[in-house]
Amino acid sequence: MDLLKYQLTEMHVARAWVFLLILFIGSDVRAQTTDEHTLRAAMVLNLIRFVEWPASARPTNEFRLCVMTDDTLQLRAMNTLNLQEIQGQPLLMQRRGHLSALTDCQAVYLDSTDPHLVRDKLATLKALSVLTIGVFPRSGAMIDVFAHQNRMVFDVSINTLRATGFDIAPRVMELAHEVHR
Amino acid sequence: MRPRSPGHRLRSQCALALLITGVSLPSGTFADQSLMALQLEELLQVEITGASRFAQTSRRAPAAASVVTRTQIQDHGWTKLSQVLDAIPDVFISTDRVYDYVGVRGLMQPSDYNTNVLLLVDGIPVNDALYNQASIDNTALIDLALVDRVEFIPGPGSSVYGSNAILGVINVVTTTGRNQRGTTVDLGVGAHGERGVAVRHGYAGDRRDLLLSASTWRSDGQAVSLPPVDGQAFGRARGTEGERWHRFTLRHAWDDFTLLATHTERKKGYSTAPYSTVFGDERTRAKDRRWMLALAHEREWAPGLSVKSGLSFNGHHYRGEWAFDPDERVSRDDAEGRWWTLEAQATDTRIAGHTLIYGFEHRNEFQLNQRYYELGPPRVDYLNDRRSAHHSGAYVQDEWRQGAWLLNAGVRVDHYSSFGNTINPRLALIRELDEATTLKLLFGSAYRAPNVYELYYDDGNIDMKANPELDPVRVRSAEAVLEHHTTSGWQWRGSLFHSQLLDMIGQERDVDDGLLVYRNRGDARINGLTVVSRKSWLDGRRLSLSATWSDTRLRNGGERLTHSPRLVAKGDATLPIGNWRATLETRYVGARTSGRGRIGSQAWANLALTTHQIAALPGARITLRVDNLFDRKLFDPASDEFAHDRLPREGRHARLTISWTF
Repeated sequence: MDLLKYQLTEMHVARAWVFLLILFIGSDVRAQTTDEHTLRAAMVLNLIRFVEWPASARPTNEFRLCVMTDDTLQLRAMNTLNLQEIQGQPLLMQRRGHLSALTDCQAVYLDSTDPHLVRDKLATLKALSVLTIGVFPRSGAMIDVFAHQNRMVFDVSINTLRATGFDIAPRVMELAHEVHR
Repeated sequence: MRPRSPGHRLRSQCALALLITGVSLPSGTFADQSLMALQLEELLQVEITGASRFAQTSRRAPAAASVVTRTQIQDHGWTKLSQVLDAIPDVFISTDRVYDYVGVRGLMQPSDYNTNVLLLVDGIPVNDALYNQASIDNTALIDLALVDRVEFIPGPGSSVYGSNAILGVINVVTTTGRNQRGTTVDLGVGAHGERGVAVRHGYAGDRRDLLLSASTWRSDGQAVSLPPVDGQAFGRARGTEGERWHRFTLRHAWDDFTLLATHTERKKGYSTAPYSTVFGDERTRAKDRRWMLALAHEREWAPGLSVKSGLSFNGHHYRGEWAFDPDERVSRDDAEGRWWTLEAQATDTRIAGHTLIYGFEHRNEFQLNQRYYELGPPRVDYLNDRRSAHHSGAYVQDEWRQGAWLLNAGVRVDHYSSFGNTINPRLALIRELDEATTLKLLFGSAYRAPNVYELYYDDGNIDMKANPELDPVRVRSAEAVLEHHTTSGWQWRGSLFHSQLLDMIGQERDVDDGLLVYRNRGDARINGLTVVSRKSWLDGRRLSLSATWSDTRLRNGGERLTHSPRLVAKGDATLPIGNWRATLETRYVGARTSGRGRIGSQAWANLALTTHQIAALPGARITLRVDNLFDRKLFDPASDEFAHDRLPREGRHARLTISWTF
């Protein structure tokens, strides 16, 4: 231990910090936004690909994903989904305000933990063939995507989903954190 | 060969770092498009290391809040809450080798047992009723392995939480059986005879969640050398700082109910001769026992209206034994506090744009006993003080969101059986300047009621006397916070703060009779600035840098406060290396005075290595943590109960823990 005492000094700590700062910040120049928001966006895209729309509501020319969020970082991440392919159609991401109509959307992403707002919006979408995605467990949406134990997971409310004519691949059900009936 | 200059070596290291950066990292990081290409199964395995969801929530929080996650606790190999707090911006830690103390924004008071911060466990206040102590060392109620996250909210918090939230609120959130599935066994060994074992079991069913934990730990303690003072010889004491602690925790949640039962007991010897006791006498020691039984209920009673309610019983027993003479009998402090708390809180979002929180709390401290006596036979009693007290509080807070503006206003009214009423408001005006920048203007007040130890303790006027005339401490605070999140994921925060502390309570020696006494020491002001920068990467890298500069002075005379450093700076970096994660912590604390002397600025480093991917040991996690890596001689200012003006911190200390999950 004496060897350690004499060989490791504050100068070594200072050097270690210089080394670490270059290592962290240097790599950061090229690194893109790689956080929970991106992961959530990727998860939403993946899940949508496994959903089967009712015949009357299948997208024809484009797939419109309407996003309601005040989270600017999440909005940026969702923007990267633009023109991704969904069931042979290009995805168009559109941000909608809280008072907007959502009837022209194939899927609605409700990024709000305000139960008042979520409940209000889900009530207006109940009779429509629109896939609803929430961000907290039992939000009332058909699918909820949320962080759990440092992982991004999803719940499926299968009765809500099927009540409006949707279905989802059994494989996805197996991967769900919870399936609510 | 000509020896290479330090500059050459530094340049070589920079070049090496750039090389590693250029070669290894870009392909390892998850860029947006590569994530989009991953399959669902792969996405489910990606670990979130950024706290960006919190970052968004924190934009709207009426405070410059910090959160430490379970992943960070594991990566750093922390075992004590004080270690977690030491990594949080605005906070610094000191110790008298038996208890750890927390200072916030440059302020720490002598002989203050963490009464100026409020400690919550799952939202329940756990500062004890006798000393109002927030236990952050091995006397803490909860094993750190059971903690899901630690939140720290600096600034006054009495408008919601009541007493003790003068400098900040620490909320420890326990984990669940779902997060701790299966059975985990920890085995640990460390320097100076440290060894211990902990067993945890978690179960999660459809409607039930169960978490059980038991741990026992002991250490022989380090040897301590103290110099002579005032002609009194001290020297080196070995084997007098032995420590032993046990904890038991049960958390059971079913339907809308959660039961939390926890018990902890810690015994530790003193080697620092407090209160003029004999140096190196093993009979001088302290024992703390704390317990809590809490039942909480949470339900959404109507759309947009959820109510949390809870009833908790708490207890704390403190025993201090003091050897004043090698040939005489030991004197003993016995303090017993028991109390119950009933509280309810409603969150109402039925009015569009508003989040209304209102609630009440009643606390009945039905047993507040302090005894001080010399062990017999015959027993000689010096103090036998028995009391009870109660207080009630009611509060309301509204968060009103209007476009990019957010107004958060709240007020709490408390009534104390001891000193009457107090009203504490808070106002926060939050403006989102653009997509990534938030400005917060925060105003608030808080208070701390004097505790029964400060008010009524005397040891027969041998070394300490009572002061029933103490007034509550009050604080008025104003703060401006600017937060910015860059497109590359960096979080920046700057806080400019100003506080006025009125009727501060501190211990001092009476110049007339030489006895220790708690007094309202007058008013003080704190001005300062905190700057924080941090980022987490998906590949596990994490970097956090912070610095707090503060000027703490008495209002009358402008004298700087003791125990209070002007500058506290810290930097933490976590770097994945293969299957391991290495974490380097560096700490800097500026010069401090103790009233009798001055301690210069100090810097030190800690290192942790951890892995949970060992091919030969599936399900195992190995953690090696070395505190005070370079074995620096570090000191903390001592309060007047010690003969010395400064006490040495522990030297280098290594600890190895192996955890298996079955």
